[in-house]
Amino acid sequence: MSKIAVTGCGCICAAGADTDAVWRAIQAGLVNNRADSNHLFLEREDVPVFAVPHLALPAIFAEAVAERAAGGELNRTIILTLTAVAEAIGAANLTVAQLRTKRVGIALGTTVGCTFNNEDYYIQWQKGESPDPGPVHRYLSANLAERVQDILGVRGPRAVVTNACASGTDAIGLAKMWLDHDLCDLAIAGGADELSRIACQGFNSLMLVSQNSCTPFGAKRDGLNLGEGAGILCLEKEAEATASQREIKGWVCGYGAANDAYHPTAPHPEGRGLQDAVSQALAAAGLGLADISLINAHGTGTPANDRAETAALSALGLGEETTPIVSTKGATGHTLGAAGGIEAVLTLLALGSGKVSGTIGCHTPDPELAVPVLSAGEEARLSGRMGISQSLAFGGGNSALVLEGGGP
Amino acid sequence: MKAIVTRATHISQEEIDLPPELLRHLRRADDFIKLGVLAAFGALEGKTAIPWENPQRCGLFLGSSFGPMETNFAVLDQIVGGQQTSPTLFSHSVFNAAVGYLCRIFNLRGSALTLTDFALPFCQALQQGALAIESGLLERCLVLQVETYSALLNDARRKISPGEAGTWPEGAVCWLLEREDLCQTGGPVLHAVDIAETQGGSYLESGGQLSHNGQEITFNHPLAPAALLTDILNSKKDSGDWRLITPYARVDISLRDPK
Repeated sequence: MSKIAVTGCGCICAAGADTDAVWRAIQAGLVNNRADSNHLFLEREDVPVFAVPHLALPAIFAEAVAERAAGGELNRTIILTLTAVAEAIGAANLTVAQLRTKRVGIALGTTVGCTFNNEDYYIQWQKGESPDPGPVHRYLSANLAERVQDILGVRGPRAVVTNACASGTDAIGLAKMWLDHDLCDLAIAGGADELSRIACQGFNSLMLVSQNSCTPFGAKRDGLNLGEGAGILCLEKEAEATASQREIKGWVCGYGAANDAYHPTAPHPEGRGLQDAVSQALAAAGLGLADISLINAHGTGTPANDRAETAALSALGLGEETTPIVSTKGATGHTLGAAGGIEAVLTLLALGSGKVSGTIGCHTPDPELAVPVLSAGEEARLSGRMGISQSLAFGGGNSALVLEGGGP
Repeated sequence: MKAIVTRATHISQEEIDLPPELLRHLRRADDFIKLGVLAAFGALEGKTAIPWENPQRCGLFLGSSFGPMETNFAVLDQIVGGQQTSPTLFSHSVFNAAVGYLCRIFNLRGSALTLTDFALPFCQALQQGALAIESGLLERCLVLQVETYSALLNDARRKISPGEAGTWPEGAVCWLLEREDLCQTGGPVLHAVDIAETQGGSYLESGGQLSHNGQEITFNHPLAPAALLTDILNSKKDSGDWRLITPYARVDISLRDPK
């Protein structure tokens, strides 16, 4: 099968409004979270969240959105997605008109983007009133992939993956399969999620949220910070990207997914499913772990996740002296369905640049972890261009992408 | 390598009757999870663990239009009421909670995804399931659609589309797909699933038509296409071409007799 080329990347999160800004923020070690005062977390004040400070519909989609006014107002998750899509197709030197001449697959991961969570409507309905039906119409027109397909005016396969925190990684994996099997000429894939009270309250109820800035892999880590954002890749078959003279920014070489079959919310202690997912992704890419120069871990900052993830990598054979392991969630927060998309973009940037910055927030790594991680303030030169971006999820989901960086 | 449709089950909400071997697993589960598990239990012929070697190559694709909507509202209820959120309710409101239960109960350790789309989600899941087998990602997989809707949605339908009579029936459908060379029981070969989305339909008016072997059958709720396909497949063990037409999508499914 042809390798799948990445011809454009787009990214938005609290760390920056585009890919370059996010990359610079991570290299500078910036932590742009803010304390939420009682809006998202009902019972706790001053819980840090990573919110996108400024968000506006990209100009290139304004006309299309206006023409499709019947769909109503766009929710924040869709605007985050469109922001990253605009950047990704721009980076690929593609116009919307060009996209309309192709079979374009849209594979997007999300968690809250699919739920009806209009509190005003719900409260009125509970009281037996007849609320304005606008929120219902908006909900019915808010399927992420369908809406993006509609606004772009393209045809092709589409999927919204709602596999919790692994959704973005799985969406990229599905898009790779579509391209491998010629279901589309080009795919727009990744993930997006906005901050929501339901997610904040829910994670809080599970005691997974830290009251401080998160410290993935840190000795005193006590939970995650939630965030929002979107990360999108523009994917094409390598041969077609080359024929179209599009610059190739990297490649998606392998995808694997597996379930722990263990617990509703906690990972298997030895990362059983993650081991399987990584092994599958490596096999699909025709590589072994020794070929990997970087692992961008899920690294949420919860004790259980970071322990399971490093245990899985150790069981797969990763040793003391080898591959740098980092998490970027100290800069982005845990963006749920967006995380896999954002982290795929950041993995490709690191692989392309040949270096990676340490895990923001992790000043003292947990000595109990099964493999060492790159901590805050450190930087590593990468020994090659192949890396892994991996995600874990509620419901026992695990998924992994083997990515190859482009660049000079 | 193509996929064989080995078994297919359809269960309605009224048929939720948990057998003893599932009771302890589903003690705290909502109806969305129960329906998914019961449909899979049927497709696996009453087994609570898959009988095949290599569980890492057995997975599932679950499609849904609305997900566990009532459980989402139960969480929202606690939030707008200023109450503490129940961790169990919250974890069950996550769209892939049912997939987590299915994998745990049946020891499915391969790729297991939830796909959410208002337009024919079973067909989307079926397409991905077939692709997962053809690509070598999986050897066997369950393909499901589960729908439970909610009182709020039913009420909104009555007000927005008064011509649409009745409440949508809740239920679940599950098909077992097996790689051609591994299948021992036989069944039609899933030759192709082609989905062409169209625009402009209202998802509150979920009517459509199934054409098969010169017959045309109309349907009127989101689970109906998958349920119809399942019921016909089970009654006739039929191959052939099937076409589903709705205002928002057209799907062609080709089932062929095995060689």
